[in-house]
Amino acid sequence: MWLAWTYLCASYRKRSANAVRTLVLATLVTAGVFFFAAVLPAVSFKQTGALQAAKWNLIASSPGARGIPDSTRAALSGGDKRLIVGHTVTGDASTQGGEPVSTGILVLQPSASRDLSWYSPDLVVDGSFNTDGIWMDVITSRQLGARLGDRVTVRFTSLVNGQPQVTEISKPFTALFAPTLQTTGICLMTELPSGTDLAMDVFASIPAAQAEETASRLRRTSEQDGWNVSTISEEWTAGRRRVDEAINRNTRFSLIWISIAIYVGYAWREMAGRFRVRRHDFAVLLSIGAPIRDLLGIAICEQLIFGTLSAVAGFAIGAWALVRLSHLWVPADTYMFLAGYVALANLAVLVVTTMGFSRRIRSLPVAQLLSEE
Amino acid sequence: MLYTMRDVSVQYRIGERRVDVLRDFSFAVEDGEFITITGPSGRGKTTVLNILAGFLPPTSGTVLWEDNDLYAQSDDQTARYRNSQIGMVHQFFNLIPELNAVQNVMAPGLIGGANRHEARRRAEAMLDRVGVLGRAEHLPSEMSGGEQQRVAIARALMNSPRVVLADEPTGNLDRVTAAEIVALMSRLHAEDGTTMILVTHDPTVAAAGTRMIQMD
Repeated sequence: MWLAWTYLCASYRKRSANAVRTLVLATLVTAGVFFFAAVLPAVSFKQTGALQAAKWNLIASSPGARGIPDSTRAALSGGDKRLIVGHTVTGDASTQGGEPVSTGILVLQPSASRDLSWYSPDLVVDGSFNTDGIWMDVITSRQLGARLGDRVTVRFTSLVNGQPQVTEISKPFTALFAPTLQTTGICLMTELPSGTDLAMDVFASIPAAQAEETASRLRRTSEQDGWNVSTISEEWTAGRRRVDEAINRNTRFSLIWISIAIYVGYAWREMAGRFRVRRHDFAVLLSIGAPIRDLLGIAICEQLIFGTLSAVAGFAIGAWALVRLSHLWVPADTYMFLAGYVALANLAVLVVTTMGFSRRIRSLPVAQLLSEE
Repeated sequence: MLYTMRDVSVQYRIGERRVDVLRDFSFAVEDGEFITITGPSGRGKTTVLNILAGFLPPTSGTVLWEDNDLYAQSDDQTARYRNSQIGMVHQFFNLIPELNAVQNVMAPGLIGGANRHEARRRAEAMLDRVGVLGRAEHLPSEMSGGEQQRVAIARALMNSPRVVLADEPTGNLDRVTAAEIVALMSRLHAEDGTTMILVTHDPTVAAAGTRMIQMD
């Protein structure tokens, strides 16, 4: 092992640019695989329409609507309905000035102009937005630089009869939420004759315990302000499981072909390149009695170092890119799954690299290489 | 008998054509000999050396190392044989360019299982013996041809092999340096009794051996 270490250190000291290039490429490939592995399932998620099976995790409804169940569910599943899809914040109702809430509110993040319609292609929205004012949580208002009384324009993409439609509303900023209950996710809002129901699918962005806590806070708030809260339904749990299964199935499917196409191809190419520049060195090492396993030790050692560094860096860059570029929200367990995948993919690359090295070492024309200048 | 080669032939196929590189070659090597193999180019001198090093299985014939078939060994046995029984010196030195002189010499010791400190101690002693200890930390690219060849000889002797196989060790050196290298190898042979098999087309170098094999 010391020989492998000395050889690699010396090798990359002399060719440090190669080390940097290899590391950067490996990192970008890892990041790319990670990114697409996270994005593609989301697209598949859209295609499966799994969202509709998700039901609702945390549901708050305004006075007049007796919980969500039948009426809202009916509205959400067909017939006369008004649904708006987008990122949302919700918050402590007690900061709403004690006034009963007659309309739900959708407050988009500063990056709200992005198209979220693919989240839920089958939902139908009539596009109108009936509200007296805009509410924002403290953090969002700070990000937007908005103060109470300012006029705020919010642009979002909704679906009207299945077609994406950009809607803009311009309303005064009338209420400020405390950030304590803020959570983001897909908001489905429906306005019924009985009042407005704000249905918020937190989509696993908060763990169950936190969801319970949020629900109990809302319950406490509702006692003061007249909100009705129904929470974590069994149906949602079942629906969530179906969503998880859909994600996992699609994630795995996506990961399999991406890893075959990119990871192994890239690793093979890298391995062949690294072997090519070391053919002569390997011939010399064989001539002084290095067993093949010692030479494989060099390849394994190198792959472990580059694989680990690039996996860690690539995972971080991929996760960052996911948040910054796609604004996709990915559940924590999916991150865990992707981390496991990156580790597994690196293991696969290690095996492939070792096998490739082994095959090439055994067919090395040692005598010929030793007689070359 | 260290080596016995009996009726060894090596043939290559180039398309439909069969090329005889070595035909029915036989010879034996006693322990402690200094054999020089000489002759014009293309007569199979280097091929003989490659066969003895275990790199080139003959098309026919037998190659025995201490009465055992050299080519019937496992990969591990062949590696151990190359590591502990033979040392090789080549025309183009074949040092690993990324490693400095002492690291190059240490390599066979480390492969043979010596710990790092022991290997370094022995490598420095060997470099001292061939007269290039002062170049221990230099890379091959920072040394002259003669110095590189001395380092290569030190590497060949690192594990105190029973045989040194040298393929045109002076072929890439000027006349003065070549004479120094031959003198060095003769001295090491005299001091240690290491068997030397040296391939050369230079009659002056060939004369340094105790037995000369002419391949015509």
